[in-house]
Amino acid sequence: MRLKAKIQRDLLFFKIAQAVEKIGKSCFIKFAPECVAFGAIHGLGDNDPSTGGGSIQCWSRLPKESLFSEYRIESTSNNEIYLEMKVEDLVLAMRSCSNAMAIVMRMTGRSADAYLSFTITTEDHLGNSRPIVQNVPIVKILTADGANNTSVFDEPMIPTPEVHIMLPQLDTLRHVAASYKSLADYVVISANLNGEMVLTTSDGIQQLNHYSNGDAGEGTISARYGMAEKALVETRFSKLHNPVLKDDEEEDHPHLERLRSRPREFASVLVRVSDLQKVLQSHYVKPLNVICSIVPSHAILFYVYLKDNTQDATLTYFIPESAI
Amino acid sequence: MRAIIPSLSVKGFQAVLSCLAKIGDDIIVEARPDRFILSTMNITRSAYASFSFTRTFFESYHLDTSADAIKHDAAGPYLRSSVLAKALVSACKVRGNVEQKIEKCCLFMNSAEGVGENCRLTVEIIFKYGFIKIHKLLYESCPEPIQVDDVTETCPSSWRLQPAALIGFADNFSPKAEEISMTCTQEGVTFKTAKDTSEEESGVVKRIGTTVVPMSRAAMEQYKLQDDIELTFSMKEFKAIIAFAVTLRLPLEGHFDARSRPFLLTVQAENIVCARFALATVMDDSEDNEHPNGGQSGKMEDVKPGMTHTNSNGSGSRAAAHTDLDLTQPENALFLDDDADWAGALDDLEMEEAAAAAAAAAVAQGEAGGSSSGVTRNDRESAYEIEEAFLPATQREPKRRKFNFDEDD
Repeated sequence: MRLKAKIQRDLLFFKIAQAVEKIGKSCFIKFAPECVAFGAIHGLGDNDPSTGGGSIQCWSRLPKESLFSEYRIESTSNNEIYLEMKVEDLVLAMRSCSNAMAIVMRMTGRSADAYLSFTITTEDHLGNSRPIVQNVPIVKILTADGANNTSVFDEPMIPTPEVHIMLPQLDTLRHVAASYKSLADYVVISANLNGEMVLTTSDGIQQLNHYSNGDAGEGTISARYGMAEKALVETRFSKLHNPVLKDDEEEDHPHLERLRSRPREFASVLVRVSDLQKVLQSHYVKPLNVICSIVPSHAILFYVYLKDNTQDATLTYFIPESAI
Repeated sequence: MRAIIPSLSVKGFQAVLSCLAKIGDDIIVEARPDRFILSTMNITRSAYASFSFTRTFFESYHLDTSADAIKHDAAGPYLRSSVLAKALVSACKVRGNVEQKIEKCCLFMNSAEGVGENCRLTVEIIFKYGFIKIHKLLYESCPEPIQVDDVTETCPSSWRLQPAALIGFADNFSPKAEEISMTCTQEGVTFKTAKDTSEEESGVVKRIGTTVVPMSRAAMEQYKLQDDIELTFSMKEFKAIIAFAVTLRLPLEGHFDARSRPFLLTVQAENIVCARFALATVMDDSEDNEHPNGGQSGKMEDVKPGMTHTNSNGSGSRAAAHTDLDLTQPENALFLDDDADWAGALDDLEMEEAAAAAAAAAVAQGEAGGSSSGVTRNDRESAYEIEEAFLPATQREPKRRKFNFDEDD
């Protein structure tokens, strides 16, 4: 089993690691001859005081060119390698890379004791080149069967989302999420097909009696979720773009049906503020756009589009609705 | 004692204090007529730092040698007390641009002889806006000095690094790394840390993530090496020392000798302030037995009992008994004030522990032996790391020359 590659100058490999750092302790990386897939899921033995809700999941499949150059891989299982490692170690290796001239990643060691070794060539103060070596231990190398059983890389089965909307600037959202964090544990994310998005603090309780809005579809959200205890804060964004994903146009899609009938009605999902913050960590990869897809009362998906010359590369986050 | 520090030097003084606070819990303030010394030792007595300021550092400096509290020793009259490090650091802390805000910082020590509530080290910070912040810190008297026997001049090997080389150096290493090892060869010096990333619940063999940063000979201003050597010492204090050198933009010199001797560092600024540090080095069993580097984990098993064997003849208590020694006990300290009392009792204690620990270590070796890897050095280190938790700061030498006030030499 051999893996050797040179990491691209934009350090996208590490930036993705930073983006998924907060999701869970371990991350799974699948190296294949043509592409590299990342997966991370919260809840596998992670210590999070607020567990008890859905687990946030994140995955990404990228062509190898966007991450590495001179990529060489060899393995007995179809030339694919599946690794599990601790994200914080990977991010730690990145610390030395700030002024690096070249970074070579290599898998070293034997199966029981394998490392992902990064040789980082930097310049020291006098201009001499200095190779720094960071060895990141690999927690587990999964067999082909084990990897196929790990659902981390694939999108879970969910109903088709009804609302797609492009998020406003990630930095703005980060400030909002940070201020919400101290006020409430949960946030209701609502969006409609009219370019509007609302984030409301909530205490996370779903109310059983929902009253319908009647003709108040102009912009109110059905009060299905309990209000936050400390402060009810509502942040509204408008004039956002509602993209149409390619396959949605084909059949009688609920998305289109909604577009025709109730464009202004909001679709809402209740999630934890901390999960929202984890998604917003993806600002490290400096995405072009982030598109959010809502399956009302069920789940929310964030598609983070990465800058890439060759193809559409995305980092996808999936948060199921938290149920208390 | 009365000392006034001008605003230009306050920042340097704060750097000194924060370095001391990172190392130890108490700062020993010693005032002598010609110099002012701040020193500390860490709780496990495996690191020592002392900063000596000459009169030129201060705007004015006066020691009243006729006061009752003044004691005398071979070097002259002095006044020594110890204060809580955190208290002194926070008393001298000034946020923002120090030079613009402060006119001067004054230190007064009243000579109540370290008894009772009246012993106060007063720190007055006079601001330019017209207000004065006064802190009165309680001090305790500190009868015995802490001294390091090793002197840099006797060390055959040394290196000297410019501050520019140190910037960003410490960032490469994992913040959780506790120890760093320094391997010196003719080509240069290599620093390496290993961080244990094992998971508690899975009971897997410990996994070590390592970081290796080389420093070539060309990068150092001066490099003198007698023998190839590898030393291991604590990371936290090393980082504090580097941070100090970088803040003050002063070159850092490291002096070292054999493996059992502490690693000495100095930072000097031209007769104004002279900082000396000593870091205890961790003993590495296998190297004492002069096994070649390719040691497989299997060899470690032989080494350990062998060590106990050979050394027990020689220096008695100094054996491979550096397993399971409780570092917080003064008798296991690097620097001893008075070891004559401890010597006898300790020998027995250490022999017992050596036996117990050798058994424990052999078991640990067995586990580590299973995972041999192509990277032999890593492997040897990983087997070795398991024991590190138990290794004391350094070997205790029973017959150590002490600095004794009372006797004439």
